[in-house]
Amino acid sequence: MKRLASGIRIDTSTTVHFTFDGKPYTGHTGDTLASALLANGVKIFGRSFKLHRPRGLLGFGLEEPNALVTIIENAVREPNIQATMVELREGLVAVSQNRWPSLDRDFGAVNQLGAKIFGAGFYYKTFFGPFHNTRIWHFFEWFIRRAAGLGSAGHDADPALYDRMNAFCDVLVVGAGAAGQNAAIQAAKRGKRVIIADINPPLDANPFAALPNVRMLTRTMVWGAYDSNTFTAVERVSEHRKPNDGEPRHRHWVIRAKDVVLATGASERPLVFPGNDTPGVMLASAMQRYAHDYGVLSGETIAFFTNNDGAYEALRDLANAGATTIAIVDVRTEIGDDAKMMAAEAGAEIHAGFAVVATSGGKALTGITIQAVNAAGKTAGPTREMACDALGVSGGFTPLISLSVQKGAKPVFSDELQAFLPPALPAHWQAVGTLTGEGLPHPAPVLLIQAETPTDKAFIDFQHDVTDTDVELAHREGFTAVEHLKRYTTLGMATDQGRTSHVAGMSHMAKLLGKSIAETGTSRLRAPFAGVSLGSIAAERYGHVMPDRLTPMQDWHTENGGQTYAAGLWHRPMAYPQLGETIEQAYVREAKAVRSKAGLVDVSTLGKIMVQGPDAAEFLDRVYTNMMSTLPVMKARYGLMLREDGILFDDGTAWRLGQTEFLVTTTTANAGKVMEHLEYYLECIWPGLKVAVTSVTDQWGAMAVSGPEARNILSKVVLETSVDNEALPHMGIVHGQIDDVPVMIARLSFSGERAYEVYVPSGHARRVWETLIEAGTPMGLVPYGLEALGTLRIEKGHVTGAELDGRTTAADLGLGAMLSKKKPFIGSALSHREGLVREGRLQLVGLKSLDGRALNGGAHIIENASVSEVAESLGHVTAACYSPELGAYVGLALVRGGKQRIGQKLILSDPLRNMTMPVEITSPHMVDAEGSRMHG
Amino acid sequence: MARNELNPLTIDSPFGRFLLPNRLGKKEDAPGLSIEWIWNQTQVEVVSFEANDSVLETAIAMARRHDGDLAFRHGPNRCFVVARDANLLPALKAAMPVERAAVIDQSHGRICLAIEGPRVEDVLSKLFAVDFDGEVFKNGTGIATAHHVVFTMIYRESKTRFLLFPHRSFSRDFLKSLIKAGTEYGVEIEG
Repeated sequence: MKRLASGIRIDTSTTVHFTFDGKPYTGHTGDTLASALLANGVKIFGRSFKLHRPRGLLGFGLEEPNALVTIIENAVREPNIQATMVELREGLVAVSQNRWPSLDRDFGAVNQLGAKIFGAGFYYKTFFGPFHNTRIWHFFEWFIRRAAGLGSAGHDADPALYDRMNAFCDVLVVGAGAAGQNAAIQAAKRGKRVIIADINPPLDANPFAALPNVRMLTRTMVWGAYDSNTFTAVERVSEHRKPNDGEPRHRHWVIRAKDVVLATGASERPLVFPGNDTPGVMLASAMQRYAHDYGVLSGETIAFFTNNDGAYEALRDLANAGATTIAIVDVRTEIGDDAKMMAAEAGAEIHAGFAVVATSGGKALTGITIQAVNAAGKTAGPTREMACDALGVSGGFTPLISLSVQKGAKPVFSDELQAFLPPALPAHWQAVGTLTGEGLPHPAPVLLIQAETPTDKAFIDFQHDVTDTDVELAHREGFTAVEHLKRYTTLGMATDQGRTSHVAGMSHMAKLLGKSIAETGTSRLRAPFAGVSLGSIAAERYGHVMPDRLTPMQDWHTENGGQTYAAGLWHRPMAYPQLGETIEQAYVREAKAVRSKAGLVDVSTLGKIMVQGPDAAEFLDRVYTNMMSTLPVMKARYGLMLREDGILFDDGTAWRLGQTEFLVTTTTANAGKVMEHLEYYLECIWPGLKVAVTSVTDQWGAMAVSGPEARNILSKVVLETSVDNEALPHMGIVHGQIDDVPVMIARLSFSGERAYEVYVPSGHARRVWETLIEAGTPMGLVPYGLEALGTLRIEKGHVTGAELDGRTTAADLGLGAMLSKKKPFIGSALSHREGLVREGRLQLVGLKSLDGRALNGGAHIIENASVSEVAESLGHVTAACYSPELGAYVGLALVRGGKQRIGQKLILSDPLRNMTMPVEITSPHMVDAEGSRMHG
Repeated sequence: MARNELNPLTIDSPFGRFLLPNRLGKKEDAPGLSIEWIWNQTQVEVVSFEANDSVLETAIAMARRHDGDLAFRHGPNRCFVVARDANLLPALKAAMPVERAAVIDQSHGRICLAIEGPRVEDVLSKLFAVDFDGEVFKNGTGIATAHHVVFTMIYRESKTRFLLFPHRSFSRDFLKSLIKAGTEYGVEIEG
């Protein structure tokens, strides 16, 4: 290897330090890990997947199949990164993969001795063969699992930032080669907003500096094409250096373009011949680019092997750069004058009609053997050996068509180019440059050399050790369709996505089938075009999956000992434990206080929807099971909604605030769904109704004052209205003022106690909450959380999401009387289906522990606990708690034929916790069944 | 009972200690973004029952009487109006016939964040799938959109200044998202 005086991508005045497998090296700013290691004389970059053969650098960019490394940043390990895509940075730590103890001496190379058993279908045959699930299988399974895969990811969380950018443009140009740049400039001159994205780091001069309507995205790979001209891309923002504060490592781009120009270029592919994976065998164009871009000669004595004219240009350029180019072996017998001239200039002998049939050197190329070859790729005759330390190969070029076919169109095979080209593109799409085949050399249709006496394996897919014989095996075993071939042999899988192997594999299968490549077809190309970090896909949600939603009283809760947890997006207090109290002790104390004195709970999370308009009452009659049009102004009513299929959807209340104005409340969990449900029916089913629905969940903070003292507490603070039983009976509503704040108070009870829901404009909610706490504390009022709220509702048999589980009907939950017979409503027709009204359905019941142990939610109810029989589940526990009112552990359950079982003693079975216990089925209304407390 | 006199436009901060004057990210240049919470507003949604009813134009005209007031349509039958006048809500309710339009107070339902700076379009583009180019999203116009589940109204005041109206319960999370998105360019937070 030799470092030249310059390369267009490197700054030779700089020195960058890095390590590879713990050994220190230096390179220059602008180097890739691959170019720097190559310049340092490194020959082996990795070990192959199955056979652990030593592998050197083959390519230059995303096509690289061999040089996969793990990059280590502090405790974070990122495996399977192509060294060709890693920009060198000070302190970079890279390690090789799939070897033990070292790249040079790898114990796994012993696999080569058993190469025959690692052929195509090894895993399938192993996992499903006669040894499956036998002791032998389990013995070898451990070794197979240990050996499978390449690099391993670490366990530490990645501390890097990732983010997203949405972008819009008139024209998106993918690829900033000559054709892409030209397309971008032309579009910009027409006044279009242009985004041009290129995977490479920028060169010094920005070709679009004078065009403000062009946005150049460098280090950006466009990896997915989706509907409506939407493209996804990943930008390597700061991977190559220390990020600035707030700067992401990768940025996920979503680009929506009116027009698209694909200028993704083409990638060279190798030829398939025995020993073609010996380190030192490289793509001819890669050698050319390493010399030109990074000033690195890939060898000192270089030979070439080709089936097209492209390698002659590489030969000439490398000779000009100072390499000794000894020969070019060409499978063609007729060589053009231009090619001959370039070989002559380079001082290289042309061996026309010959092929390389063997390589020597093992871990580093020392020579090649050539032999005459015919048009079918078969060799014969005398052989000749020649010494060289690098071999540049070229089997033609493969246009990078992925984006053009990801949406399902089939590519078109070109016999001239021996390559797949983009299909007819949709409107507003255009392909330019070498992607279309323009300017690419025409190779001879010889990609695979069938040596007369092969001395080594001929690899088609380097990354997965797929050889010509693997393709032949797949053919013999009937896996001849391209998608089967891919999966059976793993040809074309993994990080390089078959960029170097695909056409050779298809070509060989086509030959075996006696068909053309066009008839054989190609496997489907899907997004992503190449490896993409998962962090970039998570983007701004990386490390923060869901937004936090807070009530107006959140700070009060945390400042006053409330222990909050996430309930969906909302954060809610579960309880307010006092010093030394457990959560259970706290909620029991809080629930007791509500039953005996008073409690205050934050119910701001309930969904609140304004339903307004001349047809509002008619609309609500249609969406609720019960009648809402008869509701007097300033009265509230409990209501049920069904889905169209008759299953319960949600429950809540409707408050009539005016003749044409209702406030509808929903459960916390279903607030969004109910809003969508209402909007859907208004916009799509009944657009003629004059109704507007608007979410006001955030407009109103809400708190419920519950307990025998609730009215007395409110009386102390509410102005402008009375709250006595006459002014504010059960289900009544009043407007008033608390501490100067206008409030709405509805007398509703979820706890079963005398209770009032106070609705306050959110910005003043904490003020009112504190006023109520201050006024109520002398009367025994305590704040209570969700655990106590749950306890109170379980005691009363009130249902929530645990019972509205998408399977239950109103009748199942004892709410059948709420289905109006006087009017149709959503779900009324299908609610009478046989399956929904048959006997023996799960019904809501109460449960009481008979041995003093706690019930577990989700546990099953069975008739007996015989260990000799498989017990049939009669139902399951939906909610459980300790009831201070009853002095027992109680719960709610859905039990088959539950109403008929009240009084029965059954068994609760909780296999997950290895527990069975006796329980009694009770009415779900365990406390104040007649409702005297809330009406009093 | 009153601890102090209540100004109907004075509301509790939804941000608490999370909105303090601060400077984050790049400090060597002017900040790419400044963030300010605007709290003394009346915000009202007006919905007409017929699409494109002229009643919406009446509502918009009523809201645009003073500097700083704004109104924009964000659907065929909806508009969002914002004013510093506490009387806007009753005035709109009085002016809008109930058989033609609904008036909904959102003064406490949404917060208003003013964001300004040379990188404002980039920061917003990180959060919203909206084309913020000045030729597309013109001054004096607004839209209703969402950052994931955080439904937000966005109004453009000038080339470099936008008003954002997310729902109040998401205030802190949204502010954090905004700061995180802007730190790369430098963020100045005005308490």
